[in-house]
Amino acid sequence: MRISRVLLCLFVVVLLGIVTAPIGLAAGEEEVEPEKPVLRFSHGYAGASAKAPVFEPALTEYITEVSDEVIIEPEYVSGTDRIEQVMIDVAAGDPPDVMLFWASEANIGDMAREGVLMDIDELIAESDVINRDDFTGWPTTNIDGTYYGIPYEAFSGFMLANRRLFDEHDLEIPETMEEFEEVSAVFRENDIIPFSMGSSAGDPGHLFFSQLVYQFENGFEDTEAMYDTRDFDYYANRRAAETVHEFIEMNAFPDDTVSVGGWDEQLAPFTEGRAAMIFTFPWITGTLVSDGDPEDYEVMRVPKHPDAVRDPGEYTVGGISQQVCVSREAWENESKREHILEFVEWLVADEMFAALAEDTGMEIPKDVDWDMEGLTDLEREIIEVTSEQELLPMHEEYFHEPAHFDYYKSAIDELYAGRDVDAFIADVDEFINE
Amino acid sequence: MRRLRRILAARRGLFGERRMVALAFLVPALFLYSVFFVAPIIASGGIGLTDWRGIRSPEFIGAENFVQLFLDSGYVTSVWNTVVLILYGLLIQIPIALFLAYLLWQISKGVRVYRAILFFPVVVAPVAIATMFSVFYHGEFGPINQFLSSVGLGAYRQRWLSDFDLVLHSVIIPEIWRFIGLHVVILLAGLQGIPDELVESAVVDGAGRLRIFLRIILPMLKHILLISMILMITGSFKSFEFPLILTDGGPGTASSFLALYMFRRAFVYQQYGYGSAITITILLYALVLTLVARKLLGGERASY
Repeated sequence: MRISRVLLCLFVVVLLGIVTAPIGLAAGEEEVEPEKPVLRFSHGYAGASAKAPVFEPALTEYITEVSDEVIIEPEYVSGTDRIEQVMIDVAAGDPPDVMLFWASEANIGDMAREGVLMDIDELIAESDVINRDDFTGWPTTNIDGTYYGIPYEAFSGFMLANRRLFDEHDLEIPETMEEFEEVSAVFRENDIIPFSMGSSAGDPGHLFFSQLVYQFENGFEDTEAMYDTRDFDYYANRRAAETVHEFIEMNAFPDDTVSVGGWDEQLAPFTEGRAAMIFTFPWITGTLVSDGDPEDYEVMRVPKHPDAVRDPGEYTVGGISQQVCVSREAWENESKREHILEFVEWLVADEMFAALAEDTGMEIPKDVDWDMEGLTDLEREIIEVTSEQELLPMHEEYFHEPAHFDYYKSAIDELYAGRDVDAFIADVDEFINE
Repeated sequence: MRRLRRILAARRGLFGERRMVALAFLVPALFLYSVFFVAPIIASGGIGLTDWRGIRSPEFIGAENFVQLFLDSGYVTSVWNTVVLILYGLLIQIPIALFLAYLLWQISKGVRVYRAILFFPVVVAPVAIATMFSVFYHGEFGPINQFLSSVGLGAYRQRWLSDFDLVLHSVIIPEIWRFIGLHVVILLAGLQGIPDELVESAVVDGAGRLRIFLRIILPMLKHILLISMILMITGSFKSFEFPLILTDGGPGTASSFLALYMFRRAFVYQQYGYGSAITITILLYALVLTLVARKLLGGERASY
């Protein structure tokens, strides 16, 4: 009986301990709370990113340098998984203070309208070193007339051919769909994938789809109008979807477009010499140079369709992939404001952009003097060719919500896997009008 | 005597000492269970009745999300795919596990080694297994298609991960394979609990292997099979990693299961209200199927 009472008392004490522990901890936290403000910085330039060798050490050095005044906590997640991480933080009411984030309506529209992000012109107005006119690509950071990010990383699509494979099989690099079909047949007979293109979670299929759309009548105009009309069912989209089917029928794509979906998966057959052509973007050039044989590669024009009204060699798709965004709440916090301004000034400094361009081949949206000497001939050729092409934004820019864009990407996976054109068009059209 | 009665009554009553002690032991567990399991389910149910998108304030929309679910082809496909996964489990995974457990029960040497080998995939990270299978399935360079070509069966090469009719089965196979070992261990433990005397006396009475298996072993194993089935069913509703890594549930939703579809809707599409509604349906399906399994296989416990 006495033992039972002792046990009972003991458990009541333990229970009270459990319940009151958080209060005690919270109280303790208050006591040891650091006086230095903490800035959370979300970015994707670490790990396997081609930018990591330049960006990470520089960031570490900066964090150490300012550690007496401010604690900067970098938060890195690779690829587009970071969008989900940031959006969960936002839903929890705790967005990162500063972030390198994807531009365009589909990615930042809601955050901009709901006051999560600050008007970046307010920050620029307080800076003595950031000059708005030094940057290009502002339209993609604009939501309802206000700019919510400083353009940071630009991108332009380009198509490469493995010249060695073409020479070995006595072939010319194709410029039209008819020529493309001929070379595809020869490569297939020799167990070579003619064109490394797939789609998993929409990559890289959706970008090539936009490239195809703009060669058909009113392709870009109708895509641009999609934001207002919410009409996905237009001539150029249908013709582009049919062109994807033409590629499938001529056996130009890999057998399994989901297996070869994703950036690394698409690149591997090309760098291994198992695929003759690829349509890709600057963020893979680091791997292209390190894993492949860049001296074998040559920039080529996207083949022109017989029904094209615009030469796809004269334009390319792209825009701003990353921009510097700042949380409004963090900016309004007096203890953080000065440090945010200094940090953003450091991020967009000429030296940082020059280093990223020179050492990683990153396409920069700032007018900065930088030395191309460190780049390979291939990287220089890519920059020269794409800089002469008209740069057109992709479909991504003209969706209203992340859900619409993600649904579209999922439907693109189906299209590359062989789904019927009518069903593809009808599905996306219906979803964006829900 | 009267005093003893009073003491006993005090111990047995609603607030008797024994009950209070038992309650004291239970309260911490109940508290944690309520905070980390019951409260989130209730919260999910509440969010499922709103249009919450993560940023804007949620608005109450009643049962609209739940009605919308059944008009959503992606959801219906994911439910069907999950049903197919459960059928694979019932018709292939558990029978194979039972067969292997029975074989292990029959042998006298090396049981631990074989059991460990069979259990190994259960402890390997699903990401590693999915990556391994993505290599196997690669349309151009995967060993399966390469093998088919090398033995003159190139015409049978498959688009394992992009053929709409095949992709679901391609994603289910690693899922089924991974957990066979878990069920082998559970069923083997059940088999080892059956007294040798029962089987020996049946043999003495002239019963054959099949009759012994059907008339003695299976009935004795009924409750263990029920545990395996419940684990398999609830596991199917949680299935997530393999479709995510192999195909991202695609093309489209061709290889998506309910858990992945919920994840995509809530965290990729940022439709937290809709995602929560899916969560509630997952909970209900799992509950109903578990009760059905208990009803069918529960019954009287076999005794000897």
